[in-house]
Parts: sequence; C-alpha cells; structure tokens
Amino acid sequence: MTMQSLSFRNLSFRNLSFRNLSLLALMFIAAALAIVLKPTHFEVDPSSQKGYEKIIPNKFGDWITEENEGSLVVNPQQEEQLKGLYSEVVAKIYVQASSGRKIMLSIAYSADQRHENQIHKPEVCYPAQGFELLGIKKDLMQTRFGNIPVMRVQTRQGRRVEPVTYWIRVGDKLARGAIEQNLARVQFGLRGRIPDGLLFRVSSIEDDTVAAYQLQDQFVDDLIGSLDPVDRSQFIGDTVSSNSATTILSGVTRALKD
Amino acid sequence: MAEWFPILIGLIALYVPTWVGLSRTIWVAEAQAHGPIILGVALWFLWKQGPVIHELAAQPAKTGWPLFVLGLLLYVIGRSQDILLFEVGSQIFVIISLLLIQRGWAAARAAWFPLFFLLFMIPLPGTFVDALTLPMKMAVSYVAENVLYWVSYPISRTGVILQIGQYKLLVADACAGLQTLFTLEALGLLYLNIVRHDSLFRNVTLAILIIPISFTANVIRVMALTLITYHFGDAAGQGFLHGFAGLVLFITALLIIIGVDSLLQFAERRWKSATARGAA
Repeated sequence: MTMQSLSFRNLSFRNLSFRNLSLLALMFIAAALAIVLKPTHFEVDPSSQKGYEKIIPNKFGDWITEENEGSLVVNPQQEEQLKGLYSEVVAKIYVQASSGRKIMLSIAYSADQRHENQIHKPEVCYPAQGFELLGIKKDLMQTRFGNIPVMRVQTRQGRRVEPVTYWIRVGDKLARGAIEQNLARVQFGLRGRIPDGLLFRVSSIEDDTVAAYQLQDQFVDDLIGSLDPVDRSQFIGDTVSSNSATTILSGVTRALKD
Repeated sequence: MAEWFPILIGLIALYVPTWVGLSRTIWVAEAQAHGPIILGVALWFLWKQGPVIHELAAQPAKTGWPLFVLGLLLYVIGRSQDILLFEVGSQIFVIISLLLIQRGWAAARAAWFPLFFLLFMIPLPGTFVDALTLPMKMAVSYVAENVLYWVSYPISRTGVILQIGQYKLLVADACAGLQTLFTLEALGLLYLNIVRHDSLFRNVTLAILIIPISFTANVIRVMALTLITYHFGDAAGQGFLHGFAGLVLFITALLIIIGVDSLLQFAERRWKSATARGAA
C-alpha cells in the first residue's frame, strides 16, 4: 500500500517536473533569443559626419537663405536635448526671391535609430513647445523624382499659424508618424541592423494652409532638384527614386524635355 | 511547492532584465513613474494569492500552451526590438498561460486582479496617448484659467500656455496626461480592492467617477503650481513641480475618491432604508 502510493507520487512528480522543466527551458530560450536578436550592426558608422550643412545649398533656383536673427523660436532645453540625440542639425530660413515668401527648413540626422534615440516627430515636438496641433494627416508630395510620402501637420501658437510638412528617412525607407517609423526600424532590427535616420521638415508661417503646402512642395522640389543623385538619396532614400513606376515615367519625360 | 520553482526561475530570467531596463529608462520619466508601484502591488497580490492557487485542483486548460508560446514570442520580439508594448504586455500572457498550464481557468480567475493591474504598467503607444492627451490638456488649462480668473487673478490663456502676472506656464503632458489618468484609475481600483465592497453599485459608480476625479485632481495640481509661481516666484514653482506636484495630485485624488465613496455609501444606505420603509 505504502509502496504503491509512493511510486504513484514519484510518477506524478516526475511528470510534473518534466512539464515544468520544459516550461523553464522554453523561458530560458526566449530570454536568450531576446538577447541574441538585439540589433548591433550600424548601417552607417555613428562617428562619421555627413556634413548636411554643406550639402544643402544656401542658394538654389529662386531661393536664398536669410540670416536668422532670433526669428526662429528656440527652446534652450530642447536645444540641449537635441544635441545629444542628433549628430547633425541644420536649420535655415529661405526666402523666395520672386515673392518674398519664407520657408523654414530643418534637418536632423542621427546614425543611431534604436528606439531610445529615434528622431522626434514634429507632431510631438511642436505641442511640447506650446503649439496647438490643429490637424495631422498623411499625404503624397509630388516631385519630379516621384511621390514622397509626407505628413502634413497644422500647428498654431496664438496668432502664429504654422503648417508643417515632414518625412523621416529610416535607412533607405521613408516614414511618417510613429507607427511607420517604428515599423521601418523593426524591419531593420529583425535583421540585426540599426538604421540611420534623417528628419526633413519644412514649415512656413501662413494662415492659408493650402497655399503654404503648395509653396513647401515647390521648395522641396527645387531643393532636391538642385542636389546630385547621391546627396539627394540622403534625403529621400532610394525607394522613391528607383522603385516607383511613376518616377521612371517622370524621369523619361524630363529627359525628353531636356 | 517544488513544481513552482522552475516557473519562478524562468520568470526571473525573463522579466528581471525587463524591470532593470524600465527602471533605467521610462520609470525615471514622470509619465511612467507609477510603473514600479504598479509592479510591486501586482507582485504582492500574486504572492498573496499563491497558496490559494497552489491548493486548486490541476485541470490544465488547452489554451495554456498556445498562449504561452504567443507570450514568449511577444517577449522575444518586444525585448530584442525595443517594443515596450510587447515586452511589458507579454508579462500578462506568460503569467496567465503558466497558471492555465499548471492549474486551469480557476487559477487565472484567482489571479485576475494582479493580472488586470499589470495592464497599467504597459506604456501606451505615443500616437494613442497624444491623441487623447491634447484635448485633456486644453480642458485642464481652460478650467484652471477660468477658476483663477473668477477669483480675480490676472490670468490669461493661449492654447495650453497660461500667463499669470509676468509668468508664463506651459501645461505639459505630464500635468494632464492620459498616463496620469490611468495611474489614478489604477489607484482607485486598488482602493476598491482593499476596501472590498460587496456593493456592485458603489464599485461600478466609483470606477466610472474616477475619470472626472482625476480631471479635478489635475486641475487642482495645475492651479497649485500656477499660484505658487505667482506668489513665490519661478524657482518655488519649479521646486514644487519636481518635488511635490505628483504627490499633491495623488493625495488630492485619493481624498476625493474616499470622499465620493463615503457619499455613495451614505446615499446607498439612505436609499436602502427608504425602500425598506416603503416596503414595510
């Protein structure tokens, strides 16, 4: 009687421990996989400098930079934080010679797009500096190099209405908004790679949003048109200029025109 | 008890690194400062339910294993790719599935409160938070401005920027955030669980009322900050902001919760005695 119950208990104990040991093993495997799958390989050497300040011309087409004298509102705390986050920051104000209208251009670059160092999105930055977010929507910006997926962000601070257009290059992909940005990051991450990233942001202080976005589109088209293909891909990646059929078509018509 | 050791060791291997990571990153920020408290409370409740769960008859549920694999998958992707939603969220899947495998649905039911509580530890996706935070911020600034204006302070407002005297105050996300609301909701649920009402009426009403309560507590916090800055200067305001504002918020909210709950209790008793008399 005692023998039987003892062996029975042993048996059940052995069964349980087999199940529980496999649970343990699976949990250990998961913990190890989480470490092994962490991306470690930088697509771009983080210590390298691209020199965006120099790449972006101060004069092209109808546009010329204006010396900014405190016209850009800068939050000092923000500035300090941005210096740690980005390896290169470019901020310039351009004037359209023919009309006198202005465009603010802001470029932020970092070779490290792991989660904690990801580029800050304007829809987060602007409200953080006291702007109201009036609207935000995804759009396609037509340029002679194809359609660029952009985010249109409408902001306002008091009387200052500032429509913003931006996109983020993550590696060779373009993204707008948190979901696309993180998806792009994870696409690299699952292959063990850490992409670089660049924020391209233009804005203007103008009540008429439609007119503002038209001018911004014009500005972007002129700017990227003035760059050589290698520099251009630094801003719009390779996806736009090589993959889309409309790009090839517009490239052909352009070649014919030239 | 020996059967639980492998499970405990596995959970430690999975989640201690997660908690260490969180304590270095988002728990330091104000919006997620409640994280360790939530975790502590949840672990304590799980520990307390431990013996109850252990005594349950083993009727393993079939859903246990698939759920376990799903939880681990979420963990691996979340932790390796820095997706906190997945990494922190996987805790709930993994723990529920372990209970299902070891004991069955009865065990999951016995542990529902700490498991539900762990939800408040998950950092919500930024887009979602921002979409709901902004209207809340506007509303908090609006009410704070109007109340202070009503008691004749020189205050005006542009969007979420309050101007009082020579000072300009920006109502930041942390002052009115969705996370604060969730923290307070968690606090309220904890209160309900500790007080252990048997009255469904009081439980449900209070759980719903926590939203306006949290709003009121936020308005009080913003007004306190505004008044301290106005009367004692910018430095005092900043000191308050970083030292006590959070504490004030929680104490205010807790006091309102207890107050509202007492009122509900009082109302319920009167209503009950009235109906009892009516029946007699």
